[in-house]
Parts: sequence; C-alpha cells; structure tokens
Amino acid sequence: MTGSPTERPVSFPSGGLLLRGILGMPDGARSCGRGVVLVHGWGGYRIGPHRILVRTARLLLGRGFATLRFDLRGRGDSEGDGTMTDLDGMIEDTSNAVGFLRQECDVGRIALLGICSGANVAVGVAGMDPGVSELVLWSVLPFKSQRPLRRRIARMRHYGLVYLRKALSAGTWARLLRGEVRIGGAFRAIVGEPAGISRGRDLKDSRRDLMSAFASFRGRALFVTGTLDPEGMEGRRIFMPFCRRHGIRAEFELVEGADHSYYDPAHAEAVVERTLSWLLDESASGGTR
Amino acid sequence: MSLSDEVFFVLSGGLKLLAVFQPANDRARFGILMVHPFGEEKKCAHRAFVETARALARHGVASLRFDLRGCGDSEGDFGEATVRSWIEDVRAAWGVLRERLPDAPLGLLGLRLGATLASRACRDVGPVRALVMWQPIVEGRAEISGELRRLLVQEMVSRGRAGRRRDEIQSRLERGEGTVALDGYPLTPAMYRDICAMRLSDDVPAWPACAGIVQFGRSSPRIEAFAREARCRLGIVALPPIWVRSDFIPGPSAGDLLAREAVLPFLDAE
Amino acid sequence: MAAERIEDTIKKMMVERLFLKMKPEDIGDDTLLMEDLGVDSVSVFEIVVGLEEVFGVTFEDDEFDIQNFRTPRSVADYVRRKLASRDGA
Repeated sequence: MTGSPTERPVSFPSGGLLLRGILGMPDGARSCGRGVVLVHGWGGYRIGPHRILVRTARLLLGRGFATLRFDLRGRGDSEGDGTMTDLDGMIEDTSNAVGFLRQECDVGRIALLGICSGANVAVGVAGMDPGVSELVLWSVLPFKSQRPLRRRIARMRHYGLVYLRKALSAGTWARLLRGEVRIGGAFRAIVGEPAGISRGRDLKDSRRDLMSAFASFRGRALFVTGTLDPEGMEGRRIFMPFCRRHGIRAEFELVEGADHSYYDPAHAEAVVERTLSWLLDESASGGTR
Repeated sequence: MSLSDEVFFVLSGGLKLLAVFQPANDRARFGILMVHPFGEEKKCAHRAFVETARALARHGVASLRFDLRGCGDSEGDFGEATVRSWIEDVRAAWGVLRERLPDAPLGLLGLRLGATLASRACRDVGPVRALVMWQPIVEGRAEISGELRRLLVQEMVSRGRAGRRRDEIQSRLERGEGTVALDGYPLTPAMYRDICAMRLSDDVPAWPACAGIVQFGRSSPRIEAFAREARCRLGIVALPPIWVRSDFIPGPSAGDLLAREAVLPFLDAE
Repeated sequence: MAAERIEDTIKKMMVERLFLKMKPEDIGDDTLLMEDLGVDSVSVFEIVVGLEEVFGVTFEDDEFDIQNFRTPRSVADYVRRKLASRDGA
C-alpha cells in the first residue's frame, strides 16, 4: 500500500503513565527502513523551540523516515506530574518511545534526535539500547555531575518560592512557615507538597553512570553546538575527548554564532540541513550492529 | 494510566489543526475554548494550559485546546498566518466544541495574544457566555515595541551589541520589507500590521457580561484603569509568568490553582 | 546617613526581579553576571526594565552594549553615566 506521508496523534504507555506523541509514516506503508525518535528539552514539549522538532520531523518524513515526536512524562499532553519528572524517567520514556516506533512500523534502523537535555536523554538511551544506531545531539549539556560546582550553586534559583513570598504579606508568610495556616493553593502549586521541597536529589541527575554506559555505544553520532551557547560548548568539551577515548564514531559540528536553541532562522536551517544530510549519508552508516 | 482527553484534527481553511478535547469528569456544566499565546510563549505555556484543562475537568468544566495554524502540531506556515486566519481557526475550533457540548454554555479563555484573539472572536462566534483573558495584550503596537526591545537585548547578549534599533526594524516592517524572527518565529510585515492594529478596547462592546482579566503576579495601574473603563473583573494569580522561559514547571497543583482562581470565578459570576 | 550605593540598589533589584537564591550582599561588585550568576538574555531584559523603573532612566536601543552588563560595577557605572547626562541635560 502506498500513499502520501501522514502524521497522526498516538499514545503509548511508559512507567504506568500514558504518553502522547505524533507519529509520522512516510507513505502509509507499515514497513519503513528507518525511523527517528525526537526528544525535546527539559521544560519544553514535543514541538521543540520554535517548532524545530515539528519542522525537522516533517522534513525527515518527506525523505522517507518514520518519525515519532512525543511528550515526556509530565510534559506536553502526556500524563504525569511535571514537578517530579526526572532524567531517569525521561530515559525510560524515550526507550519506550523507541519500542513503540518499532512496533508501529518495522523500522530497520532507529536514530534518536535530542535537543538540549533531550540530547542527554538520547545519550542515556543509546547506552542501554543496542538497537539505536544513530544519535543526533543538538546542544547536549554536561551531565549534572560533570558541571563545575561553582556554576551549579549559582544557577539554583527557587523561582517560584521567592515569587510566592512576594505575593503573600509578611505576616501570612511567617504564619505559613510556622504551620499556622493551611498550605494554600499557590504554595502547593509552586513547590509541590511540603515533602517535595527538599527531595535531596536533583531531578536532572541520573541514578546510573550514563557516560560509562555510553562508552560502549557502537553506532555513530552527530554533535551540533552553537558557538554562543556556553553550556553547549561545555558539553562539547566533555563529549569530544570522551568519544575519542572510547572509539565512538562521532562528528562534532559548530554553528557559528548560534545560541542554545538556534533562535536565528539561519542557524536553525543550518542545523536541520546538516542533520538531514548526515542521516541520509548511507556511506557512513556501514558497520553498525 | 488514565487520560480521558481525546486528540484529533479540526479542519480550518483546508488545514488540519491539532486539537485536544478534555471532557468534564461528570456532566459538563460549561465548556471552554483555550487560545494559546504567540510564538515561543505557546511552548512555554503549554503545560500550564494542559494542567488547567485537567483541573477544570474535575470541576465539571470541559475544554478544547488547539494549535492555531502554523503553530504547534498544526498544519500551515507560521509566516503565512494573519490575525484574520487565526480568528477563522478560533471559529472552527469553537464549532467543534459546540458539537461536543450542544447544551452547555461555552466560553473563551486566552493567554497573552491568545486572550486578545479570544476577545476579538467574541464578535464572530457565539453566544459567548464567559471571556477569560490571562495577561491580555491591550495595545498591539506597544506590545510589539516591547518584543522588539527584548529581541535587541537578546542580540546584545549573544553578539555583544544590539546592532540595530527598533525604529529601523519597524520602518522596514511598515514598508513591507523583510521579516523579523522573534524567538525563531517569523514576524512578517502582515502579522506586524495586524498586531499593531489590535486594541483590546475595540472589542469591549462585543464582550459577554462575564468578562474578566487575570494578571500573573501583579497588576499595573494601566491594566487596572483598563478594567475599570471596560467594567470587567480583574484578578491576580500568584504564579510566575507561565509564558516566559523559566525554571518553573507547572504541575497538577498549578493547574488546580489556575482553575480555581483564574477561570472558575469568572464562569460562576452570573 | 550615607545614601545607598548604586551597586547595592542594583544588587537588591536583581535578587528581587531575577529570583536569585542569595542575599544582595553576597553578590560582589565584580561578580560576573552571566558566568557566575547564570544571567541569560531573559534576565538581562528584566534588569534593563528594572533599572529604568528604579532609577528613572531610559535606555536607548543603540546603548545596548554587553560591556555595560558584565558586573554590578559596570551596570552601576552605566547608570551613573545615564543619570549624569539626564541631570546635566
């Protein structure tokens, strides 16, 4: 059966939750040679910054790839409490997304494309799923444990809590802290249940050593970083020698003048075009398991 | 695993718009059409909309949220959208909500430009029994100027200097030359013109009796004066601006807060 | 009583507007805003608006130069120049 490329809304289970996504089938046929799962960043959802994941998925679809962009738990239209979503949960979700794509169309090869922390999630999945043959990593970050301590301290902003303190009068705030008022909606909305204030673990940390697992990745990887993305450049400084040391076939591209999310349309176009040509470069893909 | 909402496409002007209908937990006593904000603000605010819809369902209010053409997962090119085509999309989505809820009163909820679009749409859909505007754009021209200023600050942070001025950018747009990227979304001369022409006060005569404005965090003398002139309710919800890139990830409690303080009081006011 | 230093007013404004989890007095005059405090373009915009509200100055588009926003000291110097030209006009 042949037809034109179609996109349709889909759902699939992960960790007891229902995740939502958009599945793209190149020509209506169930058997497609290659598939791409697109992974969004920490606070975003399946469309990505300025819809870059939508546009990329549609371009890939036009070139014959099956595509799945989806919402991680607690994000977008998926089930789950977003204030509890952690990196390991995101990795589990993405692994299940890969399984779902395999089940929906008999893809021979699966690539993961992730942006920002979505790229880190993709690295996490690649380290445990030998069926992932390609990784496209846009603006990958250093994992939390790899960040310099100074930077970690400086970036902690308890945005919502301070905001709430300003919204309540001093007297009410003091009473709230003493437990004399019932925890109101705004407080709970911003910090979750009281136990959630100090969970003792950073949601962006994994319980596993993801880099060690990634060391045995035998597919190929494309890392793209904007030169004006300080965190991304730090990620590149870590992954470049790591890939070399462990014999991971990786290419590292820089987009001159680009920021973390490629907000300049010229930069976005450069990233997408490079990604497409890299994925379509069949000659580079020989030898993957 | 339990999500009771349904995902499908709404047709508008030959384009498929992605939509999600969230039924009420019991019989729907009200239905709300949710209109998202402009550009990247939509991505930032999306989850807050979702959590609000789910919380509203628990209070007997069904909702339909959808992606305007050229936005989210809908078809269409953002660069070809106009305010008029977006109002057409609001009408199409309203029609689908009415099909789903033939007997319930219906209202509109919008955020930022979505609120201004919702306000404008009151003339075209109907009858609208409630209009809830979250941080609406009151004067399109002033808003665009602020957005262009934000763009210049972004350029300064990226490249060291802004390199251009707002009046230069605006002149070019007014002459129909070129497009400006706001967080990667093209602001075309046509859209620039459309947004500059938008004034919330123009729509007041078409508003339902139950019309209200909600500001995030704090109000301003300007919005207070507007609400007084328009004789609509003004509320403040103690949350950070959900349409701005930030560390704040809304969870079910945020949805509950938004439903209880920023939607329901405006529906029950009759 | 001495008037508050402009640097200290700026630090207080920043902690408040950017929701920084620190006390204003913990920020040094030469603390690098972007590198050490993680200030990004969204935050710089907040700082610009905050400075205009607090000091009653207006920043022109062609005055947006990142050198003015490197540290609390450079922001304060920038504000002093603006105040001088406003008051001297």
